[in-house]
Amino acid sequence: MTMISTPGKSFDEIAQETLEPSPFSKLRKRIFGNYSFLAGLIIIMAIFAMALLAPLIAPHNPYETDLASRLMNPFWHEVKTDEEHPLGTDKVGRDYLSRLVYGAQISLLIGFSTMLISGTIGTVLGVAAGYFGGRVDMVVNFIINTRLAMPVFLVAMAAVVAFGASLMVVILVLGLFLWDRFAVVMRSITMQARDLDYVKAARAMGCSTPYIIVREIFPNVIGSLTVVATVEMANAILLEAALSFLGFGVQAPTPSWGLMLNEAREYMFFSPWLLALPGACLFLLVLAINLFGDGLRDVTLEKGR
Amino acid sequence: MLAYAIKRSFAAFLILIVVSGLTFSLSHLSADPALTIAGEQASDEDIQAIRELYGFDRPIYIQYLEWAGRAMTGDFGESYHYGERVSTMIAGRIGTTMSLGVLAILFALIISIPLGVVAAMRPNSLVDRFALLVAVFGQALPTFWFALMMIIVLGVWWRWLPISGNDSWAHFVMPTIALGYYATPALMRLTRAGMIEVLGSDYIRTARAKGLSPTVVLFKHALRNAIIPVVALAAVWFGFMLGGSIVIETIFNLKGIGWLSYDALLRSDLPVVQAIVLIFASLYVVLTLAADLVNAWLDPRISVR
Repeated sequence: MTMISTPGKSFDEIAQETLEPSPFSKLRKRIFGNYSFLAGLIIIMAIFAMALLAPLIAPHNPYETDLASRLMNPFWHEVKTDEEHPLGTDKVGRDYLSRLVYGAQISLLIGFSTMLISGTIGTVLGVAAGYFGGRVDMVVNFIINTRLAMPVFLVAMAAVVAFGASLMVVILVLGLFLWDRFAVVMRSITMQARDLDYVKAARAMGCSTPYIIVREIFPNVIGSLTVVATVEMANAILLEAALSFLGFGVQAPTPSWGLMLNEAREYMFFSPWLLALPGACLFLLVLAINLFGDGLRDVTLEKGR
Repeated sequence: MLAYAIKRSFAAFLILIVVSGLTFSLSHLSADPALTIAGEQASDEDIQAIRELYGFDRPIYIQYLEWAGRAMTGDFGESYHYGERVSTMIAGRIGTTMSLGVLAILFALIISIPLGVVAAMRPNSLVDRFALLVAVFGQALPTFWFALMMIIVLGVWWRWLPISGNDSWAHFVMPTIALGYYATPALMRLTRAGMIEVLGSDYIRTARAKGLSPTVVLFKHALRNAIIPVVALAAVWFGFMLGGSIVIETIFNLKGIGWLSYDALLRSDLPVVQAIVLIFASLYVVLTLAADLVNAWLDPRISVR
């Protein structure tokens, strides 16, 4: 749930801030070299592999309940453990490790799909506003401002109530809401690119507008686009988890990390690991995406825009 | 300047109309209000009677105009579920949410400013590295999971703090930390960056050359200037905290506006949801407008652009 809207700042300033390397990036490099970027990438790849190979990795079916072995403890406990279930079982006896593994699928699916939808909306709006300017820019600015004025989390909850809670609805709602940063950044970068000499030359040569946008403008914005995409992906994953946690997201018995936290709440006294594990997975995934995004930002900027 | 102010105010007003219209139609899609009022067992005739009594059978834009007209005078109608006036319900709870927001932002400032200052004084030192860790991890930590972990450790294991309700100051400690820590990375980065910039400036060198004590230079000359943007950012974060309060208030059963909106969504209590969305949106729009006007007043070039 990172921020974007900053009253009193122009969209250009916001765009600049999004793309600037964090003030720590130099320091971070001195400490870790480029390892943090690499670490982020490796963790993401590992979680991605886990999601893809879930049927092979997971020891059990994540939906299979077994009331005889409910709330088994994970392996580090002394009593009531089961070698069959290294991370124990939940309240209806489903294997927790398997549910965590399959949970990666949900988070990544939400992250990627939301990013694709919001990225498309934001890029179209932003590039149009930046390239055409004038009236188009005015209208797009108004749309962005309207979107920023909406309390996302609350409206997302209301939308889920309106259209019924399901994975599809959550993806669509988040996709339709999280495009603001894409639009702001794309608009600002396209404006800069529009006045580059070779873009002017292409226009003078009589190239068509679609050609100019795709062939001349787009290569300029793609770096920044990826940076924003990582930010929004992390954002979407956290929002889905929070929505599912409150019961306004993915529905049972889907193994979503946020929903698992919801289901585990009542067992907080005796089985705190039921809460600790899914949250730790979320934390790790978001941390990895952030590290990766930060590293990407350095690379994008080093190329020099 | 006047023309600019009028133009901006008009745009702000237009945004509010669009946002409220969207919310209104969305919430009317979400549930049949007549059914909500009548209850599950009501007969078809009863539901029809309620529909006519409340005017739900009229076209939606007429209902919207009527609602918006009354909302402008601060009248948001009655809660379907509690039968109370929505304005009274909100007035009774807004204090809790505001206190939580203020406490959380104070907590964030108390942590982030000293940490940022010390980090800036000795770049690359142990403290600086610690600050970096706090920032990187803080940004990836899901707020609601952090809150749950705190409840387990501080509330359940050690029994230091109450875990639910809002009867005493102790009930605010964990919610404040959970909501406040999320703002610390951003505020600390800004403090650190600002301090490093100010400490390298000419007037600090002059102050040092005059033989002023390092403490005076640091606090009276440097921090004073570096802190202005931090305070501005803190004001912005205050707005985000209102959004974040939905999850936090629900977890801690702290009965403010965030909790109220969760409760209202669960019960399809539309008037309450609409009122809260409109209040959040208005707050954002007014803040943005005020900031824009102040900026334009400080820098007249903006109003001509």
